[in-house]
Amino acid sequence: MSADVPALNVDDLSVDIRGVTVLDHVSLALSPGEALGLVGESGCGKSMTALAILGLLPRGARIGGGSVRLRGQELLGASEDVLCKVRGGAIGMIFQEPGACLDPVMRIGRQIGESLRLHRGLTGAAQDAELRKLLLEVGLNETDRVARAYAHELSGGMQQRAMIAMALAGEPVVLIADEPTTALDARIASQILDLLDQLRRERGLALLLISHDLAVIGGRCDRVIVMYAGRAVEAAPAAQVFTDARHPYTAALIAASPGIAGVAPKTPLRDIPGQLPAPGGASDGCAFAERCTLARPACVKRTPRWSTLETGRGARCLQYEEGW
Amino acid sequence: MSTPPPTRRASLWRRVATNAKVRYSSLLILVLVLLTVGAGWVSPHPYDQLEAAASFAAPDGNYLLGGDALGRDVLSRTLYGGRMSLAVGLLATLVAVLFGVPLGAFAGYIGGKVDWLISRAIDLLLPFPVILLAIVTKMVLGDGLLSVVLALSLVLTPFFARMARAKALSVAQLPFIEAAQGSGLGSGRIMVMHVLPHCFQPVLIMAALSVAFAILAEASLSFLGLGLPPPAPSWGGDLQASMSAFQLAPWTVLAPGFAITLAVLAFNFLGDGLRDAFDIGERFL
Repeated sequence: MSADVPALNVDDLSVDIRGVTVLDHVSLALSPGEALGLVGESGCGKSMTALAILGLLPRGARIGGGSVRLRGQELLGASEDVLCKVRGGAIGMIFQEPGACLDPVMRIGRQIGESLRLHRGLTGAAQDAELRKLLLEVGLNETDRVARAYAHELSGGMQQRAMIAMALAGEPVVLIADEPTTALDARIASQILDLLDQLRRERGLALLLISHDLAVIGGRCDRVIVMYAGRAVEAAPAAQVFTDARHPYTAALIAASPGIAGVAPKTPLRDIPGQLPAPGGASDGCAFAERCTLARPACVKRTPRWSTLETGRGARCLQYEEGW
Repeated sequence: MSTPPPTRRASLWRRVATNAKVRYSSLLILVLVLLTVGAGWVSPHPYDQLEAAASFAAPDGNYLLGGDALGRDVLSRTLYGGRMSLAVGLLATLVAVLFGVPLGAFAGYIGGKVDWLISRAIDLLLPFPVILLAIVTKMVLGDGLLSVVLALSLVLTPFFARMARAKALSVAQLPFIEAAQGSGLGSGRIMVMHVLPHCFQPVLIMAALSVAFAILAEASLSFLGLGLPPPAPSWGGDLQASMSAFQLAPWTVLAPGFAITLAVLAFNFLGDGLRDAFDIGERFL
C-alpha cells in the first residue's frame, strides 16, 4: 500500500445528539503499521469517535458533517450491508470490558468462529484450524480449553485476548482498541498492550488506541491526539507530547498523571480544577477556558481554530492564533 | 490447570436434573404421556364400547374404575381422553412459543416504532376471553383438535411475546450486543445468536406453566361443549356428561377430574422446579 493513502482518514467529523454537539470537527489519519493514541477525560468524545467511524452511533445521534474514509472508501452514509462487512472485517474493534463484551451463554470458539464464517466464509475444519491459529497468535495456548470455555471461565486477561482474536478474525487493516486495558490490573494490562504492539508490527495493523490514561498511550503510540469536550485540542508525536505540550489542557493532563515511565519528569501531581463542561453547554469560546491557567478574556468569546505549529504538530488554542 | 472446572452449562443441567420437583414431575409427566399415547395397548376396553350391563357399574376387577352411564369403561375413557388434553396443552404452548417469542424478542431488540406496533397488537389480543376465541375458531375451522389448539395459542401467545420482549429489552443494553455489532453481525443474526438464547430459560419455565394452563383451559372448553363432540373421549367432556350422576356413581366424575388435577399439578411443579433450578427468581414470572 502506498504511504499516500492512509488506512483510515477521518476528516472534520462532527456528531450531534438531539442538537447537542458531541464531536466537533475531529480529524485524524492513520497509516498501516502506525499506532495513534486518542486521549482525554471520560466524556470527551473518544469512544464516540470510534463508534462514528464504525457507523454505530447511538439512537438519536446524527452525523453533522465530515468524512470517514477507509483506504479511500467513504464510510459515512454507506449502506448497512457495506458497514457490516467493514465492522469486524477491515476494521476490528476491541472494547473496554472483555467480560461483558463476550456473550455469557456462548462458547468462545463459537463466537470467534461466527466472525470467521461471516467475514471469511470459513466453516467446519477450516474454521477450526483458523480459530486455533488465532488463539495461538494472541497467546491463548490452551486452544482446546479456551475454545470450549464460556467467558466467565477465563481470566480478564484471557477474555481480552479472546476479544482480540475475535477482532483479528476478519483480517483487519485497522484495529480500534477502546480502553482495552481499563478493566484489567496493571501487569495484565501491560501484557495486553505488548500483544497489541506485537500484532501491529507483525500484521502491519493501523492501531487506534483510545484511553483516558496518558501512561497507557505514552510508550505505545507513534502519535497522540488529545481530545477535550468533543474537540481535538492537540496532535503531536508521542515522544514530544510529554516534554513539550503545546496546549494548556495537555500540560494539565500530564501534570495530573502519575509516573509516565521515563518520559515525564517526576513532579507532585496536580489536579485540573473544575470539570469537563456538559456537552452543548458553551457554543462560543474555548471549552477549556474556565479551567485554563492561561485563559484571557478572548478565550470565552471566540472558538479557537486549529493551528498547525510544525510538521505533525498542531493545537487548538488562541495563543497560537493571536501570537501571545 | 489439570482438571478443567465444570462448565456453567454442565452445572446448570446438574442443578435441573437434581431438583426434586423437576425429577418427580418429569417422571409423572412421562407416565401420563406413556399411558395416554399407549392407551391402545394399556386400556382394558375400547373407549366407545357400549355395554348395557356395565351402566354405572361399580369398580371391580373387569372395570377397574367402573362404568359410565352408557356402560363404557371409565378407565379406558380417561386414558384415551388424556390424549386430547396433553396434545392440546403441548401443541398450544408450542405454537405460542414459536410465534410469541420471536415476535416479542424482535420488538424488544429493534425497539422504536416497530416495538410500539407489535406491542399494541399484542395488547389487543390480551382481553379476548378464551371462550369467545374458541367459539370463533370452532366456527371457522369446524370441530376438531385444531380449533381448540388455535384458540388457546391465541390466548397464550401474548404472554410469551411480552416476556421475550422484556428479556430482549434488557439484553439489548448489554455490552456484548454492541460488541457483536462491532464485529459486523447484522440485526437478524444478533437476534438469533445473542438475544433468543437468553430467552431460553424464562421461556422454558413459562412453557411448563402454560401447558398446565392449557390443559385446564381445554378441560373447561370441552366441559362447555367447545371441544371435540361426543363420543370422543375427553376429560372435560366426560366430566360434564357424568356430572348429574355424581351421587349415583362418583367414579365417573372423580376419574377424569383427578386426571386433570394430576396433569396440571405435574406441569406446574415442573415449571416451579425449573424456576428454582435456573435461579431466575420471580423477576420474569
